[in-house]
Amino acid sequence: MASDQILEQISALLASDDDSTVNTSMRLPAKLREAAALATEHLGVAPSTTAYTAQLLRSDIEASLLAAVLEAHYEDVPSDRPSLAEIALGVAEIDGNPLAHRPDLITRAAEEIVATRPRATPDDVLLWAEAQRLVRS
Amino acid sequence: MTVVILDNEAVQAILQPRHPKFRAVASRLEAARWRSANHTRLTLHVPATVQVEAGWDRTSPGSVQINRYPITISALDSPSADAAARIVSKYSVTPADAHVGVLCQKLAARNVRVIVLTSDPDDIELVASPTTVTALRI
Repeated sequence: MASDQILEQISALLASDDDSTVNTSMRLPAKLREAAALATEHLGVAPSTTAYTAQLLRSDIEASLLAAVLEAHYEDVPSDRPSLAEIALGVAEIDGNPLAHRPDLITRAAEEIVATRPRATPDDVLLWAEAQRLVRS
Repeated sequence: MTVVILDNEAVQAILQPRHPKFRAVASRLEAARWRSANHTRLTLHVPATVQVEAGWDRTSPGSVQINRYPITISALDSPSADAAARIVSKYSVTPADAHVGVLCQKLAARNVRVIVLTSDPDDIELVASPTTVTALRI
Protein backbone atom coordinates (compact mmCIF):
# COMPACT_ATOMS: atom_id res chain seq x y z
CA MET A 1 0.00 0.00 0.00
CA ALA A 2 1.34 3.42 -1.02
CA SER A 3 1.90 5.97 1.72
CA ASP A 4 -0.62 8.73 2.38
CA GLN A 5 1.93 11.22 1.09
CA ILE A 6 2.14 9.46 -2.27
CA LEU A 7 -1.67 9.34 -2.56
CA GLU A 8 -1.83 13.07 -1.82
CA GLN A 9 0.86 13.80 -4.40
CA ILE A 10 -0.92 11.82 -7.13
CA SER A 11 -4.25 13.49 -6.34
CA ALA A 12 -2.69 16.97 -6.32
CA LEU A 13 -1.03 16.34 -9.67
CA LEU A 14 -4.30 15.14 -11.21
CA ALA A 15 -6.15 18.18 -9.81
CA SER A 16 -3.56 20.70 -11.02
CA ASP A 17 -4.64 23.39 -13.51
CA ASP A 18 -1.19 23.33 -15.11
CA ASP A 19 -1.79 22.35 -18.74
CA SER A 20 1.84 22.39 -19.80
CA THR A 21 2.91 19.31 -21.76
CA VAL A 22 6.07 17.31 -21.99
CA ASN A 23 7.52 15.06 -24.69
CA THR A 24 8.02 11.49 -23.57
CA SER A 25 9.90 8.65 -25.19
CA MET A 26 7.31 5.99 -24.49
CA ARG A 27 7.77 2.72 -26.35
CA LEU A 28 4.48 1.20 -27.43
CA PRO A 29 3.88 -2.08 -29.23
CA ALA A 30 3.74 -1.08 -32.92
CA LYS A 31 0.44 -2.86 -33.59
CA LEU A 32 -1.19 -1.27 -30.55
CA ARG A 33 -0.06 2.15 -31.73
CA GLU A 34 -1.52 1.43 -35.16
CA ALA A 35 -4.82 0.20 -33.66
CA ALA A 36 -5.03 3.34 -31.52
CA ALA A 37 -4.46 5.55 -34.56
CA LEU A 38 -7.23 3.78 -36.47
CA ALA A 39 -9.61 3.91 -33.49
CA THR A 40 -8.94 7.63 -33.17
CA GLU A 41 -9.52 8.26 -36.85
CA HIS A 42 -12.47 5.96 -37.52
CA LEU A 43 -14.22 5.26 -34.20
CA GLY A 44 -14.11 8.79 -32.83
CA VAL A 45 -12.71 7.67 -29.48
CA ALA A 46 -10.69 10.89 -29.05
CA PRO A 47 -9.48 13.85 -31.11
CA SER A 48 -5.97 12.37 -31.42
CA THR A 49 -3.92 9.38 -30.39
CA THR A 50 -2.08 11.55 -27.89
CA ALA A 51 -5.35 12.76 -26.37
CA TYR A 52 -6.61 9.18 -26.31
CA THR A 53 -3.51 7.96 -24.49
CA ALA A 54 -3.63 10.81 -21.97
CA GLN A 55 -7.37 10.30 -21.37
CA LEU A 56 -6.99 6.57 -20.72
CA LEU A 57 -3.91 7.08 -18.57
CA ARG A 58 -5.74 9.64 -16.43
CA SER A 59 -8.84 7.51 -15.96
CA ASP A 60 -6.76 4.47 -15.06
CA ILE A 61 -4.75 6.45 -12.50
CA GLU A 62 -8.00 7.87 -11.07
CA ALA A 63 -9.47 4.37 -10.73
CA SER A 64 -6.35 3.04 -9.01
CA LEU A 65 -6.17 6.09 -6.75
CA LEU A 66 -9.82 5.78 -5.71
CA ALA A 67 -9.30 2.11 -4.85
CA ALA A 68 -6.14 2.91 -2.86
CA VAL A 69 -7.71 5.83 -0.98
CA LEU A 70 -10.76 3.78 -0.02
CA GLU A 71 -8.58 0.86 1.06
CA ALA A 72 -6.42 3.17 3.18
CA HIS A 73 -9.57 4.53 4.82
CA TYR A 74 -10.86 1.01 5.57
CA GLU A 75 -7.54 0.13 7.18
CA ASP A 76 -7.85 3.17 9.44
CA VAL A 77 -11.55 2.62 10.16
CA PRO A 78 -12.43 -1.05 9.57
CA SER A 79 -16.05 -0.49 10.55
CA ASP A 80 -16.45 1.80 7.49
CA ARG A 81 -15.78 -1.05 5.04
CA PRO A 82 -19.08 -1.82 3.28
CA SER A 83 -20.26 -5.42 3.32
CA LEU A 84 -20.77 -7.49 0.18
CA ALA A 85 -24.54 -7.11 0.70
CA GLU A 86 -24.26 -3.31 0.86
CA ILE A 87 -22.22 -3.19 -2.34
CA ALA A 88 -24.66 -5.54 -4.05
CA LEU A 89 -27.51 -3.28 -2.95
CA GLY A 90 -25.67 -0.30 -4.46
CA VAL A 91 -25.21 -2.22 -7.73
CA ALA A 92 -28.94 -3.05 -7.76
CA GLU A 93 -29.74 0.65 -7.22
CA ILE A 94 -27.45 1.70 -10.08
CA ASP A 95 -28.94 -0.93 -12.39
CA GLY A 96 -32.53 -0.03 -11.50
CA ASN A 97 -32.94 -3.66 -10.43
CA PRO A 98 -36.21 -4.21 -8.46
CA LEU A 99 -34.13 -6.07 -5.87
CA ALA A 100 -32.95 -2.63 -4.73
CA HIS A 101 -36.26 -2.48 -2.86
CA ARG A 102 -35.57 -5.83 -1.16
CA PRO A 103 -32.45 -5.30 0.96
CA ASP A 104 -33.61 -8.20 3.13
CA LEU A 105 -33.32 -10.62 0.18
CA ILE A 106 -29.93 -9.25 -0.79
CA THR A 107 -28.60 -9.50 2.76
CA ARG A 108 -29.77 -13.11 3.08
CA ALA A 109 -28.40 -14.02 -0.35
CA ALA A 110 -25.01 -12.52 0.54
CA GLU A 111 -24.89 -14.49 3.79
CA GLU A 112 -25.81 -17.72 2.01
CA ILE A 113 -23.46 -17.35 -0.93
CA VAL A 114 -20.31 -16.43 1.00
CA ALA A 115 -20.75 -19.59 3.04
CA THR A 116 -19.76 -21.60 -0.02
CA ARG A 117 -18.05 -18.95 -2.17
CA PRO A 118 -15.99 -16.59 0.00
CA ARG A 119 -14.91 -14.61 -3.08
CA ALA A 120 -18.44 -14.07 -4.36
CA THR A 121 -19.07 -10.86 -6.29
CA PRO A 122 -21.97 -8.39 -6.03
CA ASP A 123 -23.39 -9.88 -9.25
CA ASP A 124 -23.25 -13.38 -7.72
CA VAL A 125 -25.28 -12.06 -4.79
CA LEU A 126 -27.87 -10.42 -7.04
CA LEU A 127 -28.21 -13.56 -9.16
CA TRP A 128 -28.72 -15.71 -6.07
CA ALA A 129 -31.17 -13.22 -4.56
CA GLU A 130 -33.17 -13.20 -7.81
CA ALA A 131 -33.22 -17.01 -7.87
CA GLN A 132 -34.43 -17.10 -4.28
CA ARG A 133 -37.11 -14.53 -5.05
CA LEU A 134 -38.39 -16.61 -7.98
CA VAL A 135 -38.40 -19.82 -5.92
CA ARG A 136 -40.40 -18.17 -3.13
CA SER A 137 -42.89 -16.34 -5.38
CA MET B 1 -18.18 6.50 -19.20
CA THR B 2 -19.79 6.96 -15.81
CA VAL B 3 -19.60 10.09 -13.67
CA VAL B 4 -20.49 10.03 -9.99
CA ILE B 5 -21.49 13.47 -8.71
CA LEU B 6 -21.27 14.05 -4.97
CA ASP B 7 -23.76 16.44 -3.41
CA ASN B 8 -23.20 18.40 -0.20
CA GLU B 9 -23.86 15.57 2.24
CA ALA B 10 -21.75 13.08 0.28
CA VAL B 11 -18.84 15.54 0.37
CA GLN B 12 -19.43 16.06 4.10
CA ALA B 13 -19.34 12.30 4.65
CA ILE B 14 -15.83 12.15 3.20
CA LEU B 15 -14.67 15.49 4.58
CA GLN B 16 -15.59 14.95 8.21
CA PRO B 17 -13.83 12.24 10.21
CA ARG B 18 -16.09 9.40 11.42
CA HIS B 19 -19.12 10.75 9.57
CA PRO B 20 -22.08 8.37 10.04
CA LYS B 21 -22.82 8.34 6.30
CA PHE B 22 -19.31 7.51 5.10
CA ARG B 23 -20.17 3.83 4.81
CA ALA B 24 -23.24 4.62 2.71
CA VAL B 25 -21.10 6.71 0.36
CA ALA B 26 -18.37 4.05 0.25
CA SER B 27 -20.82 1.25 -0.59
CA ARG B 28 -22.15 3.27 -3.56
CA LEU B 29 -18.64 4.16 -4.73
CA GLU B 30 -17.66 0.48 -4.52
CA ALA B 31 -20.83 -0.44 -6.44
CA ALA B 32 -20.07 2.15 -9.12
CA ARG B 33 -16.48 0.87 -9.30
CA TRP B 34 -17.77 -2.68 -9.71
CA ARG B 35 -20.17 -1.70 -12.48
CA SER B 36 -17.61 0.40 -14.31
CA ALA B 37 -14.64 -1.95 -13.93
CA ASN B 38 -15.02 -3.89 -17.15
CA HIS B 39 -16.70 -1.67 -19.64
CA THR B 40 -16.68 1.99 -18.73
CA ARG B 41 -14.58 4.57 -17.00
CA LEU B 42 -15.59 6.13 -13.69
CA THR B 43 -14.82 9.64 -12.51
CA LEU B 44 -15.95 11.59 -9.46
CA HIS B 45 -17.18 15.16 -9.80
CA VAL B 46 -18.10 17.83 -7.27
CA PRO B 47 -19.66 21.04 -8.59
CA ALA B 48 -17.74 24.07 -7.33
CA THR B 49 -20.83 25.46 -5.58
CA VAL B 50 -21.24 22.16 -3.71
CA GLN B 51 -17.60 22.43 -2.66
CA VAL B 52 -18.36 25.89 -1.25
CA GLU B 53 -21.59 24.77 0.46
CA ALA B 54 -19.80 21.83 2.05
CA GLY B 55 -17.03 24.09 3.36
CA TRP B 56 -14.35 22.08 1.60
CA ASP B 57 -11.24 24.25 1.50
CA ARG B 58 -8.52 22.22 -0.20
CA THR B 59 -5.85 24.25 1.61
CA SER B 60 -7.23 23.47 5.06
CA PRO B 61 -5.47 20.81 7.16
CA GLY B 62 -8.92 19.31 7.79
CA SER B 63 -9.22 18.48 4.09
CA VAL B 64 -6.27 16.12 3.97
CA GLN B 65 -8.42 12.99 3.65
CA ILE B 66 -10.81 14.22 0.98
CA ASN B 67 -7.97 15.83 -0.98
CA ARG B 68 -6.62 12.32 -1.67
CA TYR B 69 -9.71 11.36 -3.67
CA PRO B 70 -9.53 11.77 -7.45
CA ILE B 71 -12.34 14.33 -7.55
CA THR B 72 -12.76 16.77 -10.42
CA ILE B 73 -14.18 20.12 -9.37
CA SER B 74 -16.66 21.29 -12.00
CA ALA B 75 -16.44 25.05 -12.40
CA LEU B 76 -19.51 27.21 -12.93
CA ASP B 77 -18.99 29.04 -16.21
CA SER B 78 -21.22 31.86 -17.42
CA PRO B 79 -23.74 29.83 -19.49
CA SER B 80 -23.98 27.26 -16.68
CA ALA B 81 -24.58 30.04 -14.16
CA ASP B 82 -27.46 31.31 -16.30
CA ALA B 83 -28.91 27.81 -16.54
CA ALA B 84 -28.49 27.31 -12.78
CA ALA B 85 -30.20 30.62 -12.08
CA ARG B 86 -33.19 29.47 -14.15
CA ILE B 87 -33.35 26.23 -12.13
CA VAL B 88 -33.22 28.16 -8.83
CA SER B 89 -36.01 30.43 -10.04
CA LYS B 90 -38.15 27.53 -11.28
CA TYR B 91 -37.79 25.11 -8.39
CA SER B 92 -36.67 27.25 -5.42
CA VAL B 93 -33.65 25.02 -4.76
CA THR B 94 -30.21 25.99 -3.50
CA PRO B 95 -27.58 27.24 -5.97
CA ALA B 96 -25.56 24.10 -5.23
CA ASP B 97 -28.45 21.80 -6.15
CA ALA B 98 -29.07 23.87 -9.30
CA HIS B 99 -25.40 23.48 -10.24
CA VAL B 100 -25.73 19.70 -9.77
CA GLY B 101 -28.70 19.82 -12.13
CA VAL B 102 -26.81 21.77 -14.79
CA LEU B 103 -23.86 19.39 -14.55
CA CYS B 104 -26.19 16.39 -14.89
CA GLN B 105 -27.71 17.89 -18.04
CA LYS B 106 -24.32 18.71 -19.57
CA LEU B 107 -22.90 15.25 -18.91
CA ALA B 108 -26.02 13.42 -20.08
CA ALA B 109 -25.90 15.41 -23.35
CA ARG B 110 -22.49 13.79 -23.92
CA ASN B 111 -23.99 10.32 -23.39
CA VAL B 112 -22.27 9.99 -20.03
CA ARG B 113 -24.01 7.85 -17.46
CA VAL B 114 -24.63 10.02 -14.39
CA ILE B 115 -24.98 8.79 -10.82
CA VAL B 116 -25.58 11.29 -8.01
CA LEU B 117 -24.93 10.44 -4.37
CA THR B 118 -27.33 12.63 -2.45
CA SER B 119 -29.41 13.01 0.68
CA ASP B 120 -32.37 14.09 -1.46
CA PRO B 121 -32.88 12.08 -4.68
CA ASP B 122 -36.23 13.76 -5.37
CA ASP B 123 -34.63 17.21 -5.56
CA ILE B 124 -31.85 15.91 -7.79
CA GLU B 125 -34.31 14.29 -10.20
CA LEU B 126 -36.19 17.59 -10.29
CA VAL B 127 -33.19 19.80 -11.04
CA ALA B 128 -31.76 17.35 -13.58
CA SER B 129 -35.02 17.02 -15.51
CA PRO B 130 -35.68 16.36 -18.35
CA THR B 131 -32.42 14.40 -18.11
CA THR B 132 -32.69 11.00 -16.47
CA VAL B 133 -30.05 10.40 -13.80
CA THR B 134 -29.55 7.72 -11.18
CA ALA B 135 -29.91 9.51 -7.85
CA LEU B 136 -28.88 7.28 -4.95
CA ARG B 137 -29.90 8.20 -1.42
CA ILE B 138 -27.10 8.11 1.16
